[in-house]
Amino acid sequence: MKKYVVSLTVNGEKFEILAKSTDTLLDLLRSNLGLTGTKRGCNTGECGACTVIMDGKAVNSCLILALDANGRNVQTVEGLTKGDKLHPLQEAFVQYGAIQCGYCTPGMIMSAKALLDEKPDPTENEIREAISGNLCRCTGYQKIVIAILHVSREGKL
Amino acid sequence: MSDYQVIGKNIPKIDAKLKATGQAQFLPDLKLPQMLYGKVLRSPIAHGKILHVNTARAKKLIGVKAVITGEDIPDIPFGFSPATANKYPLEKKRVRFVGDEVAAVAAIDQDVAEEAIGLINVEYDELPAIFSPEEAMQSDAIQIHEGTKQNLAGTIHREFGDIKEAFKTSDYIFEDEFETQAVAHCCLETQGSLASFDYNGKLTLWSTTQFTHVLQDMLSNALCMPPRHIRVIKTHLGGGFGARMPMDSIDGIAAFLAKKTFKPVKIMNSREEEFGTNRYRYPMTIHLKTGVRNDGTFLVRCAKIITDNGAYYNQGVSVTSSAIGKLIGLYRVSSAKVDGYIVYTNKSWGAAFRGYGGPQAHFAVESQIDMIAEKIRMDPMDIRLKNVNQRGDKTIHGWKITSCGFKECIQKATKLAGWKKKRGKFKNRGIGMASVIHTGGGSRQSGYNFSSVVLKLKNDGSIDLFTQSADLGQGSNTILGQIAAEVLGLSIDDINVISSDTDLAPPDLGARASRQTFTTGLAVKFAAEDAKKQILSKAAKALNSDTKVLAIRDKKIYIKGRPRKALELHKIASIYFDENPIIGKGIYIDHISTISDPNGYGNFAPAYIFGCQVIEVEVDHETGYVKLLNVVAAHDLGRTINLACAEGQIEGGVVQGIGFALTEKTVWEEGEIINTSFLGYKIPTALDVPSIKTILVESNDPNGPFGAKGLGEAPIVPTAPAIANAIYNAVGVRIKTLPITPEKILEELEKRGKKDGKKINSY
Repeated sequence: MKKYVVSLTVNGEKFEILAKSTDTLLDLLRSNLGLTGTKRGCNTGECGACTVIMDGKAVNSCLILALDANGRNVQTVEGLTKGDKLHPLQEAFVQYGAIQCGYCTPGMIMSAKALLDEKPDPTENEIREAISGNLCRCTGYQKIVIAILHVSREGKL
Repeated sequence: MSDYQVIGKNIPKIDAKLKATGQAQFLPDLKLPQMLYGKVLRSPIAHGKILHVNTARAKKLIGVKAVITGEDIPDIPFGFSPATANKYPLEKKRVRFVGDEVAAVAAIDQDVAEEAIGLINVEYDELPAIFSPEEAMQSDAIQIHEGTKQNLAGTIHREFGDIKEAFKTSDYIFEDEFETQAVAHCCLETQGSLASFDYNGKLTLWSTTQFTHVLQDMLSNALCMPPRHIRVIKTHLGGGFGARMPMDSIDGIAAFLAKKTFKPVKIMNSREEEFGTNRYRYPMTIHLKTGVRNDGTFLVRCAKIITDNGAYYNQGVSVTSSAIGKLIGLYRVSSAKVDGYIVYTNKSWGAAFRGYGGPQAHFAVESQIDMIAEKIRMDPMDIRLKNVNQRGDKTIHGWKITSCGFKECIQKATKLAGWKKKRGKFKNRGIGMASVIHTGGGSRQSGYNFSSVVLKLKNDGSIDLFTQSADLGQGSNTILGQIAAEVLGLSIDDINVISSDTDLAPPDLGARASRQTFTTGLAVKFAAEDAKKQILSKAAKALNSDTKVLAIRDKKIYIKGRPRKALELHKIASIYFDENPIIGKGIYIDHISTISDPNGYGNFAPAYIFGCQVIEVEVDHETGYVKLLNVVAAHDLGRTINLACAEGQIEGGVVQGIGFALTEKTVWEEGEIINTSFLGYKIPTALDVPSIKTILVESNDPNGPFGAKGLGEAPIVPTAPAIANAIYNAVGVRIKTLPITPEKILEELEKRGKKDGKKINSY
């Protein structure tokens, strides 16, 4: 299959990547860039495990065609850490027991970050709304909501 | 018990940072050099003979490296036990459900593999298919497995005490039928397997399994290879809940393809495949008959259970047996009789699922208890308190209750939920409760219950702990690390847990039956005590003292009462101290539980756990929509090892229970599952669940590590009946089939002309 050049910025770094027209942004991140922190849970935009931030918005990367990511600015979970220092959201997820199997965690954290970037002090309901596209089968969501609330209230962003 | 340094503390899980940063590798993240991609061809029909499989076109496709069918694999089925196994990784002569595995390919990439699958041509001779157990049990029904009369995978008959006499002396007899549905585990990571052979003939298989040790044995059998030639590794696992025990067809298929191509082969289920071949929770129809005295004493409980087993023998009989045990064991009863029929149908095959028969049995018993309470005009809380199991009890089927916080769970949960204040006081709002009994440390139902671990001290006094117990996200590695740290006076940062690798760690039965905290926890405690003994013996010599007067804490060894004159642990631990490394060994063999006798009498588990949930709902009587307002969940876990992990098990279990109660259901059409996505199969989102208040009741089990018992499965069990009871309290309709959809509520409301939302129960 013919391949096309996609130019995009991922976690602050510029890339030019050859992609097929059927590839998704998720394929490109995982297979071409080795950014396997972004998870594939359903590949049809229903579970949110592949959530990344594209131009400031949380999106399901499995629903974005790789070619449509051309010229975009993408942030993945790998882009949150600074050296060995975790992002406050990551730190809060660890501290508040918001992680069980961990498969939904990167997507969950990216949805939370997109929310807090836009609205630093959300209500509990706004948090639940923001992560309602991120399915979690382990935690019951409670500790996830608490972790996000904690970060918002600490004003750590 | 505040003296503990590590036990009971809120210590972040040891793998949490790896998971928060995306660094933790799950099976889909693994890629080996030259790795091929496998894909399975599945049957499009529910029942039929395989006449011919033509793979010629697929084999010719560029990029295809191997195509295999049932002809290419040994004539050895796999299953829960070799004696009853009847499933082949690839079927040879017959398919028995839509999705049954028929052929497989390995190709250079996923696209080629999928294209190749489409080029395989299978001719079937279609047979009549049966989808309902009742139909399958008819004597003239087609036999899904030849020679299996009435399609019975098994029958179970249990009788304890004098039934006739008990019914005779009962003031009231209640008879109701309850139905539970097929629900899917919905692990966020789909099932997968990656197999690779080396030139020594050794297979390494990375799998999404909950049981590395058992999978090694099962593969050994299925592949005709000695266990020494098989290494099974579990990667970080994206959920289990019973779905990943022990072996899936794709474990075998990946291995056969890898053997044929001599290249690593990875197979991952797509989400559609995962739903479409759903190894569901066994649906049960439970006809329940209970006799009670007018003071609320339960005298006799009888039931007939029909279990939809699906197409192959897996755990249908075991799960039904477990359901029966709980149906009899929950609350004191003086006699009981249960008949269970486990029936083959042409549907995908069921599996273990958190609770292992408990959610089905409890839905029936706990729903009916509220009906009983109403009839004899007792508060549902009081009738439960009157009949609770208690420490020292021996149930009529032989369960020995060695620790029991049941009563405390009911009292604390109802108090925190405001039971008395809220019950029957608000229009369209209701509050309901239900309880749970479950094993808290595995069982001997399948014959064995043991754990073994090894730990070694490193030069710096920290330890490597080797175990084949499986961390699925519940946090078992952290909990085991905490137990070792507590014994050895270390912090959690000093513990390196190496788990779920058959080459590295001694055997363990893995993550099932809420057992790892108890059984593996005890093995870890013994191993740590073994190491401690060796440490103190060296220290005694160095301090010119006696081991009996020595203590170990904060990585120092000192004579009790004289902490200032301490010896650093790392000095003793170092191999350069006396060239004598410290290696601790711990084996726990459960001698408390017993294998039941043929009549089902025996001590099912080494410890039992209890819980009570109180749930408040609001029912919209125009739409039938149920809104959950509050959940209080009190659970007896013996002793809390890790606070967040314990709370997390309860919160997660309750939310799975909410899905089971209200929205989740696998839907078949002519044998084909039609809701194969998260859009069609609705699990709760963050918006669907209320805040959950957890109460941890510490009953301090005499045999558990630091008094701890298991916890993981129990929290899903009482949720559905508690919701059903709350709905009844809110609008006076009793729904006996799950899930409780708005349609069912509206239908009942209309039927009974209670659209005004009036309640008939005001207790």
